[in-house]
Amino acid sequence: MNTVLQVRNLSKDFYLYNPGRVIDGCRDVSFSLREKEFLGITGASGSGKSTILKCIYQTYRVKSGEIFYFSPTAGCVDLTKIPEREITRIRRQEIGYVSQFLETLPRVTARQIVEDSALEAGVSREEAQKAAEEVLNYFKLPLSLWDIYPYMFSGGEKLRLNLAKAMVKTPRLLLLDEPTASLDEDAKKLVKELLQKLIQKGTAMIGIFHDLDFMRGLCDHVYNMAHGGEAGKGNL
Amino acid sequence: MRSDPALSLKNLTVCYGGGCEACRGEMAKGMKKNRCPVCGSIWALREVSLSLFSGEILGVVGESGSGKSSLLKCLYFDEIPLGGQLTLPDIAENAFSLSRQAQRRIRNAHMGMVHQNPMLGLRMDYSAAANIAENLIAANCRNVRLLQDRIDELLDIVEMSSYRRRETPRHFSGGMQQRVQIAKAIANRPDILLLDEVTTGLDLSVQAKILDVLKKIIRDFNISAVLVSHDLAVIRMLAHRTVVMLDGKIIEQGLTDQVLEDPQHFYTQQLVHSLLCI
Repeated sequence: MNTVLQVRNLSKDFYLYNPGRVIDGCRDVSFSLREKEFLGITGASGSGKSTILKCIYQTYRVKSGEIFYFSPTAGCVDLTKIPEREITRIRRQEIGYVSQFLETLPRVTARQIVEDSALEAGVSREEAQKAAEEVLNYFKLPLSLWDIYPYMFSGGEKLRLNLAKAMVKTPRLLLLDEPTASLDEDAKKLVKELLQKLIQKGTAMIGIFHDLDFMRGLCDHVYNMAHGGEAGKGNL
Repeated sequence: MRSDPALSLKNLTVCYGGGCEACRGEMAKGMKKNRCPVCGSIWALREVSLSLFSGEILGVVGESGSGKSSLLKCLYFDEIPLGGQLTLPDIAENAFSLSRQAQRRIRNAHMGMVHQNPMLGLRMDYSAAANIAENLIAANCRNVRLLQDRIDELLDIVEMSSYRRRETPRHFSGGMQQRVQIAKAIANRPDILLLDEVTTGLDLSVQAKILDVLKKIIRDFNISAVLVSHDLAVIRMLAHRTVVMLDGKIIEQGLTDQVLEDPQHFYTQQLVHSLLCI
C-alpha cells in the first residue's frame, strides 16, 4: 500500500503577546500513514492531539518539521511549504477535516451544505445532488430535515451533517477531531461502519476519540501523546 | 478555482496630502504610523502587494483607517494611487497607468462594486431598474428588450420581486438597497466583485440573506471577490484567504482559518481575542 502522509519532527508552539508567553502545542511528532490505515491519537486533554491535526490541515502554521503528503495529482508535497492556493485545492479535493462543530453560513439547508461540499471536489451538479442524498440517507438524517437550516438541529443531527459533509467527497485523507463526542450508540455504530467502508475504498484516517471502545477494531496504529510515539498495532 | 490570478497588485501606495521629503524618506525606513509627523500627510496605503485568484474570495480586515476602503477605491479606479502596479488578465500594461477612459472600460466590463453606503452606489431618485440599467448601458447594452429581461433576471438573482423595479431605492429598506447594489454590480457579469462592508448596519436576518445571495452569486458565476469587513464571522464564513491591515500596511495574511485560529501578529491576536471575549 502507498504512503499517504509522513510527519517528521513536527513541533508547534503558540506565542501570545498578551501576556507574553509561549505555549507548547506539540513537540517532535513523527509518524507515517498508508492507504487504508487508521491512526488513532490518544492522550490527555491539552496534550496536543488536535494541534497535530490542525498542523496537518494547515490551520496552524508549524514551528518546525515537515509534513509530506503524497497527492495523486501533485505528487509528494510538503504541506508546510506549498502555496496557500495549493492547500485550498488539496483541502477541497483530497483532505477532509471533521470536528465536533458544524460551521456554516446561515440560511443554507442541510442538503445544500452537503451538495456544496461535493461540488467543491469538482463533480457535476447532478452527481453532487445524488451523492448528497445518498450520504444523508446513510446517516439516517430524516428526510424532513434535509431542506431545513441546521441551526435548529439537535447536537447529534448537526454532527451527522458535519460527517456527511466531509464524507460525501470520499477524501484520500480524513482527519477526525472527536467527531462522535455527542452521538448516541446507534449513531456511533453508523459512523464506525461508514468509516470502515471509506477505509476499504482506500481513505487513510487519523482520529482523536475519547471513546476507546469506538477506536477498538478501527485503529491500525495508536500514537500516544504521553509516550511520544506509537504504542503498536491495535494496542489500546 | 483556476490557478491564474484575476488580479495582481504590487507596491500600491496612496498618500492623502502629497507627502514631504521627510515622510518620503521615512517610508523607506519603515515609518511606524501612517501619519507623517512633519507635514501631516496620511499614507493610506504603503506598498501593499496582493493577488486575487479566479473564483477566490479574499477577506480584508483591519481597524478603521487602516486603508481597507482606499484599497478598494484604487482597485475600482476611483482613487489615483501615488505608485504601484495593477496587473489584470489580458492587459499588458500597468492598469493604473492607463487613460481614465480605458480604466472606465475595464471597470464597466470586468468589475462590480458594492459600497457600504448605498448612497455612494445608487442614484436614490432613479428607479431600481434605471440604476441597474445604468451599468448595462455603460457596457454598451442598448436593446430595450434585452435590458428589461436582464434587469428582471438580476432582480430574481438577488431575490427581489420584479414588481418593485419601478420604485426608487430611497423608499427601500437597507437590505433591499444593498441587494439593488449587488444586482447593479453583477449586471455585466464581472470577473471581480469589490465588497465594502456590505452587511454593516443591517439586522441579522437581512445580513444572512445578503451573505446567502453573495455566496450563491460568487459560486454560480465563478466571480473573484475582495471582501472588506469588520465582522470576523462574515470573513470566516465567506473568505478563502484573508489579509490583515494596519496603518496602511498588510501585517499578516494567510488562509482564513490560519489567520483567525493561529494569529501571528500582535494586532491580529488582539482582534481575534476581542471577538472571543465578547
